[in-house]
Amino acid sequence: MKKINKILGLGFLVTLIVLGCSKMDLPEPTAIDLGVKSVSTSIKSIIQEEKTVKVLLETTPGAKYSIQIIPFGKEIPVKKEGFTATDETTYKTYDLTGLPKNYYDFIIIDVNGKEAKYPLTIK
Amino acid sequence: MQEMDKLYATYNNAITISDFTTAQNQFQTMGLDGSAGTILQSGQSYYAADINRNKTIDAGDLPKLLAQVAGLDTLVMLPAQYTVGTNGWMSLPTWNTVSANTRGGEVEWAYVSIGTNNTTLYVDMREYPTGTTPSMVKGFQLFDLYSGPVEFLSNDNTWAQYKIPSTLSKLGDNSSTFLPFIRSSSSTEYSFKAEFTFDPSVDASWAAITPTNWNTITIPKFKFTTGAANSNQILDLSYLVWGDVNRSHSSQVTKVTGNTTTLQTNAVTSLITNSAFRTMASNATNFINTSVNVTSIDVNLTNITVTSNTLEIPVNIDTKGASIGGIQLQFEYDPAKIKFDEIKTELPDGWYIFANSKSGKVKFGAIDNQKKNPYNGNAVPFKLKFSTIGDGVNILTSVKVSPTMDASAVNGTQLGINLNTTQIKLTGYNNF
Repeated sequence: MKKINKILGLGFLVTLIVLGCSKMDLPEPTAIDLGVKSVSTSIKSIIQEEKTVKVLLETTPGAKYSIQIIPFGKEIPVKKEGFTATDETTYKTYDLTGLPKNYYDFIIIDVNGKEAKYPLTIK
Repeated sequence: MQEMDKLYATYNNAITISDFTTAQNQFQTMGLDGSAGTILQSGQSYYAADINRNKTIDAGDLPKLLAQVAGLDTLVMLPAQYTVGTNGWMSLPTWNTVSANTRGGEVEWAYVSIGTNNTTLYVDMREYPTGTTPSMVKGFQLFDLYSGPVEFLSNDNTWAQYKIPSTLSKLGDNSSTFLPFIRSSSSTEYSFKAEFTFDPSVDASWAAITPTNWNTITIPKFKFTTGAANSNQILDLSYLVWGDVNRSHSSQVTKVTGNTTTLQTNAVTSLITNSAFRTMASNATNFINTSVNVTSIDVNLTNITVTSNTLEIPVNIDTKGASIGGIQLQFEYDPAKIKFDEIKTELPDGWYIFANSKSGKVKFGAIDNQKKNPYNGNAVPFKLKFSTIGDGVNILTSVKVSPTMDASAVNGTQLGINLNTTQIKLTGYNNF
C-alpha cells in the first residue's frame, strides 16, 4: 500500500508540473485607443427647436468625445453618444422626444476630462 | 441646542485640521512651567481646546482632537439610550453674550452720549448689586439698540462709564421698539428708563471669559428676567462646539478697545461670513488675530476617463507661496459604483497621513506632525485609488467634493481653499 501511495503521489506531482509548464490561452486584452489629444472641446452653438436640438461643436480631428444629456442635478444621462471627431467642427442633431419635462444639461467631455455644458429645457 | 440626528455631521464639519493645528501650536509654544502659549487669543478657544476638561491645554487634548479630525473617533457620542431618527435635541455650552441685560422700567437709571464713532454709556451706580463692580462688566445688552462688548472707562460714586463701539442707529431713526422707555434730552443725549440685571461671572457671561479665567468655568448657565407685559425682551446667546478651537462653527468673540472692535478668530470661514470683517480678511494690511495675512491655496481636480477596473484621482495643490502644516478634504461617491482602496502620497517624511472611508465618503488629509517639513509648491501630494464595482470601461458616475475641507498654515492659522470644481466626473472608455 505504501508503494502505491508513493507512486500515486509522484504521478500527481508530475501532472502538476506538466500543467504548470504548459502554455495557457489567455484572453486577448482589449485594446484601448484614447485617440488624439483634444485641443478644442467646446460648444459653439446650440439651437433648440421644441424637442430637436442642433449642436455645433468645436472638436479636434481624431479626438474622442462623449455627449451626455443629464437631468439637472442627476449624474446618469438619459441620452448619450460617443464619437471620434473627423473635423474641427462637428454638427450633431438630437431628437429629445420622449424625455419628460425637465431641465437638462447638455455636456460634451473629452478623454482628458475637459468638459463644456449648456442648459436645455423641455417644456 | 443641537439636533442629535445631525450630531456627527456637526462635529465633522466644525472640527477640522486647523482646529487641531491651532491647539497643537498653542501647546508647543507653552512654557514647561505651564505658562501660556502664543497662539490662542481668547478664553473661549482655550475652553474649546481643553478636550479632556482638566482646565489646561496639555498633551492629553491633542490625540483626541486629532482622532476627531481624522475620522477615527468622535468627541461627543450620542447617548446609548437615544434612538436615531427620533428628532432629539441636546444642549451645547451656552452663555449670555453680555454681562448686563436691560428691560423697560420706570426710572431713568442710564443715559448715553452719542459721539462720532462711538457712544458713552452712563449707568447709575445704585443699579449695581453688592459684589458687582462696574469694571467687571464686559458687555451690555441695551434694549434693542446694542448687544455686545463694551470698554469700561471709569466710575465715581454716581455713574459708571463705558464706551460702546456703535452710534446706536436705532436712536437716530426712531426704529427701536423700546421708544416708550427712551427720552431724548438733546440730539446726542438720550435717557433710558431701564432696569439692569448683572451677572459678570464666567459661567454666565460670554463677554467675561478671558485667556486667564476660562479655567474657572464650571457649568455654563445663566438666568434672565422677563420684560414688562407687551414689551420685548432681548436675549443674546453665545454657544461653543467642543473642539471648535477657531470657532468656525461657534459664536464669535469680539473685543473692543478704543474705537476698534476686533474679531478674535483665525478661522477664514468666520471671517468671510461676517460682512463687517470681510474687508479686513482680504486686506493685506490688516491681520485678524494672526501673525500672518489670511491667504488661500488652490486645489485642482480633473475629470477622469476610466480605462480599467481601477482608477486614481490626483489631487493637485498649489500653495501659491504659502507653507501648509495640515490639510484635509472629503470626497463623496456612489458606493454601488466604486470602492475606495487606498491613498498614495508624496508628502515629505514626518507627515501623518489619514484616510477613512465609510458609507460613500472618504475623509483624507495629512498633518506635518513633526513640524519640520511644511508642504509648499505646486504638485500632487495625494492620489486616491478606487476600484469599480462593475466594468470600469462602462462606468458613468462622479465623485463630489464635500464642503468639509480645511487647510492650515504652519502656525495653525486657517488657510482658504479655492476649488476649481466640486465634482469629478468618471467616464468609462466605452462612453466615448
